[in-house]
Amino acid sequence: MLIINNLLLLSVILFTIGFLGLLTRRNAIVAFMSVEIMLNAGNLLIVSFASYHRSLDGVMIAFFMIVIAAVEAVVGLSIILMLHRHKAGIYINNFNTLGS
Amino acid sequence: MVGWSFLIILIPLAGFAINILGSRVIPKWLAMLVGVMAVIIPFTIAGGLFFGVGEFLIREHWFNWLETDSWLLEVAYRLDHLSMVMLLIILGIGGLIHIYSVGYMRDREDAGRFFSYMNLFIFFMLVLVLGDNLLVMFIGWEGVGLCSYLLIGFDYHRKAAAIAATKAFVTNRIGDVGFLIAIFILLNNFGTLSFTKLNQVIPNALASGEIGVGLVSLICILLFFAATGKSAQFPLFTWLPDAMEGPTPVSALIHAATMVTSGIYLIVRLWPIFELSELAQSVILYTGAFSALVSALIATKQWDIKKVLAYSTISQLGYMFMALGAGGYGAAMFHLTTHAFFKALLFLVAGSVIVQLHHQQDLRKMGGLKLRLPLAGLIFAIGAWSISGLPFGAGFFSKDELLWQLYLDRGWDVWLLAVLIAFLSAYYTYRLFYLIFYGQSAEHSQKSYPSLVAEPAAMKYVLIVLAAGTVLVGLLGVPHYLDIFHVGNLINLYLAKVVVMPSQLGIDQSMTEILLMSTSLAVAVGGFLLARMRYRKSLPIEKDNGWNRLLVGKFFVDDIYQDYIAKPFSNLVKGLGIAYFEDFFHSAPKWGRRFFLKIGESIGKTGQSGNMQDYALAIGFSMMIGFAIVVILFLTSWLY
Repeated sequence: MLIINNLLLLSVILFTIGFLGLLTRRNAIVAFMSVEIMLNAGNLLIVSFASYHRSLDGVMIAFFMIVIAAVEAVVGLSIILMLHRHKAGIYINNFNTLGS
Repeated sequence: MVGWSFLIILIPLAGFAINILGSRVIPKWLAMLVGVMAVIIPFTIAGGLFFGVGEFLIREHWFNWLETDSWLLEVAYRLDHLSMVMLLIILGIGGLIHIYSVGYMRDREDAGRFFSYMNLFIFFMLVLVLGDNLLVMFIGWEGVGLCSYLLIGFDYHRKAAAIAATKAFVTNRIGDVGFLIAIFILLNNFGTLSFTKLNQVIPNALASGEIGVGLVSLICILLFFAATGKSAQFPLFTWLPDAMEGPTPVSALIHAATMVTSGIYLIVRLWPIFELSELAQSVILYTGAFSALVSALIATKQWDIKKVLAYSTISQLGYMFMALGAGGYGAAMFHLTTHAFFKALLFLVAGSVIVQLHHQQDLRKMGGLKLRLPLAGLIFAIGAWSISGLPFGAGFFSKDELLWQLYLDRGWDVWLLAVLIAFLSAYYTYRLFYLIFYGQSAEHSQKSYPSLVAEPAAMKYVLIVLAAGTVLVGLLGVPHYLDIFHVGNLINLYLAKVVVMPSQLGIDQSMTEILLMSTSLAVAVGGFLLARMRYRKSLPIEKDNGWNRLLVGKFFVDDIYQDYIAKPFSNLVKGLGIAYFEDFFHSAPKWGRRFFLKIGESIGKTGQSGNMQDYALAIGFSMMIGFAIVVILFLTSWLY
């Protein structure tokens, strides 16, 4: 009981850190790292519940999510690379043409 | 055919919907076609019902509107002999007037709007006459008032038309208060509004002593008060002459043939109740007589061609109310029918003259048109012949029947009063006739109107058809002493299945009847001759004495209402500072528009920044709120 509570708390803290990082940091790579942290917070939550319920289903989902995170890193990093080539800078607030 | 009867009501509504929704898309000719067909098709259905079903009462229940423990209001319609007569008048004359409007409105860009209002009017009028209970009737009653407002103010950019429309609307609302209170009293005391039930329950309750005659009188007088509003009787008649600001087909359809007769229809529909109260009958009789006399007197001094006809309508309606007060329901309905024909005819031919003279309505500027407008002159002569009650015109039969009922029920004095009104009506009608078509030389009219506007074919043929109808409609009620072929009084025989006819058995009064008829005939001829003498050659010089001033000033009823009711009321409103609220309501929509524009702008500008982090923040906040709601719901459901 104590362990699952601590794990949930850790997951929430990680998610909050990730979310705040996504909101505040302007460097695209750091924002991307924050997204990864949030993803891992979710992963941690699923694994914790899986171990709490003594079930392997959650562990399997976690494996899938790690794969997805790896693929996402490939796509995300290449997008950031293209952004850098396009505008010579990877600050997020430079890319706001959606609003106009 | 019976199963199709609901289409009679729904087709005009469909016509309205098509024309109002497609007013920007539908070309003018199609809008006119839809508007005309939306009346012609129901007319053919109604004609089929008339010939196809003999002893009929169609009663169709649609749905229950309100149900409580003590009463039930249902939406249902009934088609019996009485509503059949009204139905044929509304759809027949209405159909002709729709066709006439095609010609009248041919140059107007907003003809589609006009036809949609006319169809809506037909729809509400049908609801009024086909409603099975007072509440459904009241819907129609209010609806025709609305359409009257819309059509009087059809040229809403003219101030006079807008004011006249408002006046008609407000005056009618005053009468409607009476209708509503009567409905409340009936519902409270008898728990039903169905005509059939009311007509049984109230006489029974009175006979068994459950209710006093005072209550019945109160209900009757309240309903009659509503009728004075809609049917333009004293004290609420002042709106009808002003309503002549509307287009002429509207005056013919709404303010002569159909809507203004709904007060008479209401009383005939509930005749067993009105029969119970001597007081109410006297009130109806004398109010009708007073209105008829006053408006006939005013009509003799008017210079606007349509206003003369409007006052004449009030006068003829007063006649019908006199008959109702004397228990002559059949006679009133017969006069209603013939009046619908000849007054619609007179209005339409007046409209034709007005159109051909470049929209001139002033009688003093007409005259000498006999040879230039021969068709209009002939048709006007037919209408004038009918309304004056000269031999074998439509009005001759109906007025004679009506006078006979008055004599039977009330005796000599009321009969004499009615004959005096008949004299006046012959006089003002022929005054109108001679002022338009004689009075001046043809050269004079040639000088005033070098060119005439060509009359559209639709108007011409409608006039001819309606004139033929006017000639023939009197034959529906041939009195027995003229009944050579023994067909009987068709309209009375027809209506006798719904309405009581005063018995004339026992004494053979043919001689008296012929004597009375001859007297009224002589009087009508006298009115005709007096008008001919005064107006045939030239415009007579009006003496400026008190009596003339009273007549020209329309008995100052309008001024009295203006000075002693409207002005104190508006002063009161101003005194209470309500005028500021008016300002508020004028500007409130503007503020509202600005408010929403601002909100939209700010959402658009700040929300759509293009910055990813703002979007992420919005998503995060929305999720938090959603999550909070879920938690709160969960907690509260768990608490219970």
